[in-house]
Amino acid sequence: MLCWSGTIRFRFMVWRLSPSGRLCITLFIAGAFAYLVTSQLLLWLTRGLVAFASAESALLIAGLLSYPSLFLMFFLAFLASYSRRAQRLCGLISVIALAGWWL
Amino acid sequence: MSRHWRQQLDWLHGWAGLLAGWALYFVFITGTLGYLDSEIDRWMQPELPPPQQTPVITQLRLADAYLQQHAAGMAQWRIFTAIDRNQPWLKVQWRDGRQGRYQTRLLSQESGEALHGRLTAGGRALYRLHYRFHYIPAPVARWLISFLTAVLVLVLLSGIVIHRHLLRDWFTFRAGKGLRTGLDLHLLAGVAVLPFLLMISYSGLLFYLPTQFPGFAATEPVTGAQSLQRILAPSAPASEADRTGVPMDLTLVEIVQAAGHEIAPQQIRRVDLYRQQGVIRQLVIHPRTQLFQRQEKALRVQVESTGPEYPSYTGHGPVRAVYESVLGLHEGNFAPAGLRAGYLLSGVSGGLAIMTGLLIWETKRLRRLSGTLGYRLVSGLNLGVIAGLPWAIAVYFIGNRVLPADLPQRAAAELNLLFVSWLLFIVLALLRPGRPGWLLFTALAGGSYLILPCLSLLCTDRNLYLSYQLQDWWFWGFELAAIGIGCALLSTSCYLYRRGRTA
Repeated sequence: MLCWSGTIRFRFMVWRLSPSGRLCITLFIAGAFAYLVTSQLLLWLTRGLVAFASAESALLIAGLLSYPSLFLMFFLAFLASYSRRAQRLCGLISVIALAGWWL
Repeated sequence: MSRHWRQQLDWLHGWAGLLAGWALYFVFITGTLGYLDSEIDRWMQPELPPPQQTPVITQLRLADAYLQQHAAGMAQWRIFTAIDRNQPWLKVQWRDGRQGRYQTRLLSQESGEALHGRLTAGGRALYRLHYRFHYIPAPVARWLISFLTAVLVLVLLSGIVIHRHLLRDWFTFRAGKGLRTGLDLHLLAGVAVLPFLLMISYSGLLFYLPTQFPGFAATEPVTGAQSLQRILAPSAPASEADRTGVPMDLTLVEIVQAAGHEIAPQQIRRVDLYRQQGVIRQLVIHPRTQLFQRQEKALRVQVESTGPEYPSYTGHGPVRAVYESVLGLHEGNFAPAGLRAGYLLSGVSGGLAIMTGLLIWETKRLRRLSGTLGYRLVSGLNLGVIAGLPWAIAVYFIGNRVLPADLPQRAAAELNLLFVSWLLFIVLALLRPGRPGWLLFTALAGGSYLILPCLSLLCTDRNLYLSYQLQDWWFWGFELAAIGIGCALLSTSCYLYRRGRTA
């Protein structure tokens, strides 16, 4: 109940903002989403790569892939501000990342 | 692509470009000057002889003799051989213990004596400004530059998406059409070097990967093996605690010559020497950088009581080589003169794209926002940053010639002069934005560059003609470039004056 009322209050607050204010909040959320998800995916990727390559190679491959992943996630989250399909994809990725955290 | 999404990205491109634009302009201009750091160093130390090439073994002998005389028994020595433009002079450093600052000397490659040039921050300090800034702590600077680079990538990607007919528009230039001309110039400058901009921003981000993803970077996937920070950290010697026995007493040159079957002496860029109980314990030999690489793997020679142990030299593995080449592409240290000129032009073009972007934002809102405080602020900052930075850099060069040679903290004083003059310029620009300000300040900046060769003539024993006679092309090229920049800025001022009279 608390969660729902919090969400409604947040939506109400965001809707009252100007279009540029709403866009700023979207950018902030997209940035935070991209950063957290990418950090988690990098951990997974590194652990997976260690099975096939040396630790140095695994870390460097993950490092090279980190920024493309970060910007991909950012634009996906940015797109999710009005696309239902992108919203679902973001949700799915979040669940996978959260599961990784919990595991 | 939805129109709505494109509009949002247009907003993002405009605002992110404006808010990060001033800082990115600073980063681009100082970073581009970094591709000429050795040449600027040369001009800022006119007392030094022109760079010359001598065999590496001869250089090592001279350095060894100097260090034996002035830093005998010190725990660490470093010798940087003069092998290319990145290291034009033979340089030695030493310190006692693992902590503390290194003492540095440049040595003559003929006599082995120390060379005494004036104390200066040099081109290296200008280059450092583009990622380390000044007056702020290093961790803050790392986060700030990472954030700015990420914004640059966003601005570039959003710019690609919002310009639907990128290539068609690139081939269209409409001169004398006001805002339209500005947009065409923005596209021309930006699209021409788009691959360079994407490369420089992506590789720039990779430099601070451990800072930006601390959790991932500290991961140790194989128990206690390696973390990214350790992999990318500069080479450090093995712990002295786990070594026993007195190492064999050998000279530096003997060890390097014996290592010749692994790394040829002529390929040695740097030698690090670590001592224990007064004798050499470890020697780290860094070879010359190959094409596209940032740094090659070093050869570590351990000296035991039975003599030196030479491991067989293998370069970086394929993944590390790719990683190093991405970073190497950013620094461009491997680049010969032609490619270096390409780097320089690309950097200037990137700066031009940022400059036109900032001016487009201002021009677009001239009618709607003119007179408001925000508009005056943007207008003043555009003038203060775009025209002020070249002027402040000229003042930095002037400071090198006019500050007394025995001034304490002379190098810091040069940099202070740069920032104080720039701040003064920004304040003046905020008070007097608009066309008169542009006219006045571009003329001032142009004049400042034109007096640089005159100051060399008055304050040193060098001049343009003498540099030509001595075939000191770096010195000569710098002064010619200063005259060229000065003329270009004065021409801009004259153009603005003529346009003001006809309007």
